[in-house]
Amino acid sequence: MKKLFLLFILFAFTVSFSLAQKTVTGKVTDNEGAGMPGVTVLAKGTNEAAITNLEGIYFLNVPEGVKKLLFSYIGYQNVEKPVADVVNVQLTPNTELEEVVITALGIKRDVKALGYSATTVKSDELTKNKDRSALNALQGKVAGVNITTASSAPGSSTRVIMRGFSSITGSNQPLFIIDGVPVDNTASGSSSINGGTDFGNGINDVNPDDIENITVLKGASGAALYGSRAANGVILITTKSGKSKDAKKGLEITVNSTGTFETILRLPDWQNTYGQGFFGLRDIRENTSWGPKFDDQMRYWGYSIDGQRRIKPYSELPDNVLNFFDIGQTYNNSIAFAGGDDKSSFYTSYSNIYSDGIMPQNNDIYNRHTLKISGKTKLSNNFTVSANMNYIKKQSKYVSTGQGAVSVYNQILQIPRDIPITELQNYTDKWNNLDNFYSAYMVNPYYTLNEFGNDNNQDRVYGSTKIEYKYNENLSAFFRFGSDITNEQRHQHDPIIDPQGINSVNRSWVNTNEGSVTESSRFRRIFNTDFIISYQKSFENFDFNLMAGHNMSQSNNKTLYESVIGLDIPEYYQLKNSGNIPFVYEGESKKRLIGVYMNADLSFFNIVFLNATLRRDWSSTLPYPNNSYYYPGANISFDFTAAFPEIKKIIEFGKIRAGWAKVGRDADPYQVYSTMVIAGFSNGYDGTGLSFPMADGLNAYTVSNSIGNPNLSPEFVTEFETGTDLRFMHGRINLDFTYYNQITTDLIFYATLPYSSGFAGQTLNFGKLRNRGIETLLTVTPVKKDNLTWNVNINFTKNYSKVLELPESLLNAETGEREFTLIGIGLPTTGYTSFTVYEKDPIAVFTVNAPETVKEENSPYYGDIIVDSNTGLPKVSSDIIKLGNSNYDYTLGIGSSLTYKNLNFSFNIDIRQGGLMYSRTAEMTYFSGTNKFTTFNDRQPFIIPNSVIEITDADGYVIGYEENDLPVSNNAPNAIGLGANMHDYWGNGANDLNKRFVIDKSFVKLRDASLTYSLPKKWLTNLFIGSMSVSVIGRNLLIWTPEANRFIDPEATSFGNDLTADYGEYGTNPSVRSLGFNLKFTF
Amino acid sequence: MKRIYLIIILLVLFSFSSCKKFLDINHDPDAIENVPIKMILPSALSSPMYILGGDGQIIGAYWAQQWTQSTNSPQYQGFDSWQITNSTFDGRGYGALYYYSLTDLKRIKNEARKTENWSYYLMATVIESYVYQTLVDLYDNVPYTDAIQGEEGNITPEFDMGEDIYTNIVDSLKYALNLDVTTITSEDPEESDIIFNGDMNKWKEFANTLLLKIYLRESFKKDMSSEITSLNGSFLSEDADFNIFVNQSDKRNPIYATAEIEQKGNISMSRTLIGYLIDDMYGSPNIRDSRVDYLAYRPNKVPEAHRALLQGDFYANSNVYYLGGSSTVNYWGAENIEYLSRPLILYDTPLYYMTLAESYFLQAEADIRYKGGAEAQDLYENGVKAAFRRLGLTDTDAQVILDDVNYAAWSSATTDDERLNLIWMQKWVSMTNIQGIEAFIEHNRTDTPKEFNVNPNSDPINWDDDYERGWFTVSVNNVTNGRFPRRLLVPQSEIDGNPNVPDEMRNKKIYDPVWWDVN
Repeated sequence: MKKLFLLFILFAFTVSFSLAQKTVTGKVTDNEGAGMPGVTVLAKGTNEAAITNLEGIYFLNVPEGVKKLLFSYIGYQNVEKPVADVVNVQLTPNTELEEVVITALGIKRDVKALGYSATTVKSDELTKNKDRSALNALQGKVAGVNITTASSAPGSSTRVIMRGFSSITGSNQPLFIIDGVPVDNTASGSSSINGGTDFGNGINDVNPDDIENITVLKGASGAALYGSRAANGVILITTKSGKSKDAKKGLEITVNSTGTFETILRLPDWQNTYGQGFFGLRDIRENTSWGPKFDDQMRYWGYSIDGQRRIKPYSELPDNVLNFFDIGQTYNNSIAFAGGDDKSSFYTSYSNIYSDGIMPQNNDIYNRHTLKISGKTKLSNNFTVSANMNYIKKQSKYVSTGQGAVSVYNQILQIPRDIPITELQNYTDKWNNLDNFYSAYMVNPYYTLNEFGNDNNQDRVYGSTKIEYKYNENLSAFFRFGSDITNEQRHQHDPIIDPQGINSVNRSWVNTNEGSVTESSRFRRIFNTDFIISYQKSFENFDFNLMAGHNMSQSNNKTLYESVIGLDIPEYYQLKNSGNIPFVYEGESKKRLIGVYMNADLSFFNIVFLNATLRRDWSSTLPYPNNSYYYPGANISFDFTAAFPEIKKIIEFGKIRAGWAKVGRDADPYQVYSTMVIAGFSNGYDGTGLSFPMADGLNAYTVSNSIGNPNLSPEFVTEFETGTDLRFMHGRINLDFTYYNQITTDLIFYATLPYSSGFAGQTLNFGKLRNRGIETLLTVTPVKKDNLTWNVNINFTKNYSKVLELPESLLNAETGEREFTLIGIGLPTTGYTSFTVYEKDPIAVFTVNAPETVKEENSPYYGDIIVDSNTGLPKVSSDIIKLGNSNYDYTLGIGSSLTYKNLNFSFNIDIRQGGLMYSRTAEMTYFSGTNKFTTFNDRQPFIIPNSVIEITDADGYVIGYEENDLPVSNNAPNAIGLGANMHDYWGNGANDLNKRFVIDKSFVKLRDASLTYSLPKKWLTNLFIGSMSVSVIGRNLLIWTPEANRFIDPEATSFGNDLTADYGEYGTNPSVRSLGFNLKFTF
Repeated sequence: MKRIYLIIILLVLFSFSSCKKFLDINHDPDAIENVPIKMILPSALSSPMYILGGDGQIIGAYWAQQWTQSTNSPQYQGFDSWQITNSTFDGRGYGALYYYSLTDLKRIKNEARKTENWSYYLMATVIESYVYQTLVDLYDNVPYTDAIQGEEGNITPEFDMGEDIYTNIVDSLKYALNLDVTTITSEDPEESDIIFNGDMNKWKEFANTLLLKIYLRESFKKDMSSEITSLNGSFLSEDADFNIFVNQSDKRNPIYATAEIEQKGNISMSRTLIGYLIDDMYGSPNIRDSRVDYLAYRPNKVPEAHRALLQGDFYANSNVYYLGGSSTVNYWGAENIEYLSRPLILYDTPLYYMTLAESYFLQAEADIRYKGGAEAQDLYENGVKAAFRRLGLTDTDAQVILDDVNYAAWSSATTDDERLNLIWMQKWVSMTNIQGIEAFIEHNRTDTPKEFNVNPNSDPINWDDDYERGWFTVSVNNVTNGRFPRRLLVPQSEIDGNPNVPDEMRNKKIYDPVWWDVN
């Protein structure tokens, strides 16, 4: 605190003065000779300034003694002119060196002064392909940032991870800041494997057309000033204010209209040789394609109903799955009004996106309206007031993923290769209704599609107000209040499934459902205030800028959830439609944080730039009163081309930079005290447990199975980074290189305890995690002529993660390793596949149980696979093998833009190499015999190569091995020891066991491409139209994956928005490509 | 300038002076930190039954050869092939008993001791002893002295010897029995006691019967005659059960919810039990124990008879043995369950700590072995009648088997060993569908029903020449070379997180006996 007061006293020494004046006038033009509005003209050495009007004309009262005028405009080179009565100036756009970056807390800084890596992506890049999400538009464009879309269902969420995972059970999502204020980025949905949903994440609500630019601060250095929440990096979004350089007229209206069409990008490679059945025989009730070869004969299918049968040729339908899906449609329309004069500016916009996805009929919908109003005005008393307000209304309908009757795609994946899916569409007719549906083991996908429902409605308001006071050129202060309020209302229902009648006998064992309705509401609110005082002073060779700030934030969450299971009247989905006791849940949390911070920037000779930060936070989630922590940071930038000008012959501009920072991260609320919760016991399946209150009104509490931790402390991320920015050939070649080394210590973990402690788990601090890597961005302009410009940019990222230390208590005595499994923490237990954090390994390793092999080295069968003499299947050993981890080896983005006269063609390619994921889709296609691998050996019996059977003695001990003569066959075995069934063999992963379902997730995607024609301005001059362009746009147009992945788009995930998402997918809906048109014009 | 000063100073002062109030908000408004113990009691009394009667019931009934894995799904093949891992029954079984039940019970005991609320202390002690005895009977050595001390900071408890735990729970039961429970406290347990509605005499009877059960369990290992003869209180006179289920999700009997709602057809009746209750499984049914139709559904496709699967024959490799020559059925598939009898459990079938029948059978055994046996016949027959009545049958129905000299008539036994065998066999039958774990443990103690060691796989034709009805058979798909299960393995959660797991515990096999097991 003392420091803060010292600073205030320092301010008090500043005095103001005024002198006699004279008036200067003139016109400022751009390089084309047009008048430039909004240019600042400053009487150098004073704070007297004027701004040019719409024609570029200014009038400035220049105090006596002032020798020079300084003309400045963002994106143009500053010009100094001696004072005269008339001073006309032509500004030239700056192509290099003087670029300005918005950094933490909205501070504008020269690129060359930055001691850390920051990447800015501008509006036109973000909106070129008209994605509904600005984050999706960033994909593959920023080094060090890994952006994945969970699925291509309308409105689904986008995950952003910077510089690897720095937390294991905590959040790895960056902090999102819009115009200086943190906003909510909650991912709304469920990663349940029994019906996953994804209603999108908060930041995807922002209309990309409203964004001026996005700056990505990847490291801790850039983020230190935002405190705890910024340890994973910060994404700063600056929205349009009405003062863009395009707004040369008093009012500019921009209209954007886009229509795109979505088609399936990737389905599994199907086999088209074998159809419905089992054991190589026809079976009209089957959900698998283990039947006989297609023979094109007319045959019955489905049950006999009222003495009638349906008939169709027993032939492959290569596109039966593809035909199930519709062509998706997305319409994106927006209008924006911007304007202003030298004192005030405003911007307002409305946009609507309506998307109907690839699921038939109106079952997957995303309908988003956004409204933005913002304005800024400079008052005569040196106050500047700005405010903005955004309202978003979002309606979504989502088709569940996962397993069971709730998931449409789960049904689709099991449909035999000869069943005409589209003929199942009328799910109420006698052939296709619940009672008579052809399969004994599944539900009509059209029934699931129409009778299960997930509807979400969201209203959100966010915005901020900022009051700035500029006391004089040196001293200024501002207060900013921001808030973000979201309310979601969700309605979900399951139908009653209870087949009746003669054909239901076969169906009575599977997939019955009592019907349910769930109504829930989720409320989230963030408040944030900042109060900042800054003081800057320039001397001849020395500038400094001091800043002190105070920050307060609060976030509230409240969830109300009510559900009834067991509906009385079918297809009436209201809570009241059940006499059962509803399950009720109420969740509420509140978190507060107070921070004070200082920032100091010093520059010497415009060559060496130093920056130092210090912040102290008090967090309500840490044990009171030990709830505060400090974090310091410092960085330096050295412009060596300015220091040694002779280098400029080779390198026009070059700087080296280095930074170090430490950021603390607090815990989630309510980890400190032990509590009691309403009693309930789980019992295997959903819905088989017991929850209080009981029917007779008896309620009960139980001691929560988590213990509070009164010693909880923050986790810290310490990061060192260094890098260089180099520019050659008049800015035609730019290289930006960064190396970073980031260590997280005292990780906040929810750790399981030995149950005999009386508790299942506790939030603890332990462990140490490292991420280090390189980020490179190379921008080249190979051609730059009058009519032709060609730009290429390449970004490359490689991150190495390593778990340096896990505590002794995580030592597994069997494996001898310290390990922490993520299965169970938001992930399902799927057979023998595990997803585990091991000490000394990269984060999150996939493991499976190895097949049993002959281990005796002197045996002639050494290394052979042992098969079970009963089942003929490879035996599962207790040996765990590590398959590898989920991290990409590297990512590479290649973008190119070619402009010829008024025509622009650009594209981006996103390349990600390495890493593994689990795929349930793959597993299902093996199980149901629908993928190409299952036609191995033409489904003729074969003996597993190099496989043996154990020879046992009378007591059952293994005394040797003999060659396996049990074939794997698709025939019906009728006695023991006849060998393995092919369905079991492939369904269990063949010789690889579960390893087969953990696949390589490498891919190359043509992420986007666009062709834009801008109408020449001279055609438009008489039409009140400022500019007009027409584009053909496409996203996710092509994908290449390695041979191991013939199943899915590997970006797919079913497990939320963080580390667990790396586990993979559990029957997510297939991804799409989109292609469409955009029309944009301004008035 | 001055105004700014003032604002700054005010802001700063405001935010700091109110820091305590502003930041000390970390108490979860939705999770209360303390509740009256009468609000914990229903959870503490019901959770052990739910854990043992839910997940525990399945493993217990498979190993007690009352149920077996159906051909319909692979769900519990591990249990039935005696191929378990350290994770079997860990989280929702062993773990839940500790972190749900025992933690709540300890909380109640601590609060009750502070307020001298001795009736709560008695109830909690009885259930706690019951849980620890079951843990010892399943795992032998488990944490006891150091257990449930997570809040005190001990998260790696030492293990105690099973025998020592027995000594301790006997002492704590005796201590609780001597407390004055006549004082009505402010927390009247009439509503919160879901077992006896606050009737402390019944709790004393339960405690007394539990002592008898504990003594008898040790009685083949140690001489317990003086302990047993000195038990002078009255014994349990009604079922100790949890009986408030209704037919809706999360409020049903857990086995009904699992086997009838979620995964229909996972479980079939074992040939071991069904073969004991009826005379001929293959032809027309000759039912000698009318309870069979109250314990099992007949097969959908062949309702004229009961049909059951040979224990552990989940691939029905040996379908010739159970389907009476019908070999038209695939070896694997959903429809097979339609040819098999399934357990008859309703949504409101109660969960039991101990039945009245069990109380009688324990007393009958004690009477023969320690008190001259004069009352043994009455006690035995009362036990059988109680078992019939539990199923809604009458004493007359019971009398049919009590008169059957080829089955359950007291007169059919002429020696004490034969009489004990009768008692134990009827006790085994009486536990069908409800007390799988207890039936399995009692089998380990009494070696009744007997174990028949020929694997049907070894000799498909003549394997059962020497087999007698009711005897346990070797699981067809066993992985233990025919050795019957005797225990569970030390839980993975302890191996993973507790360095104090004794090495010898890590190496135990499923067929290694617990401390009192002399068979």
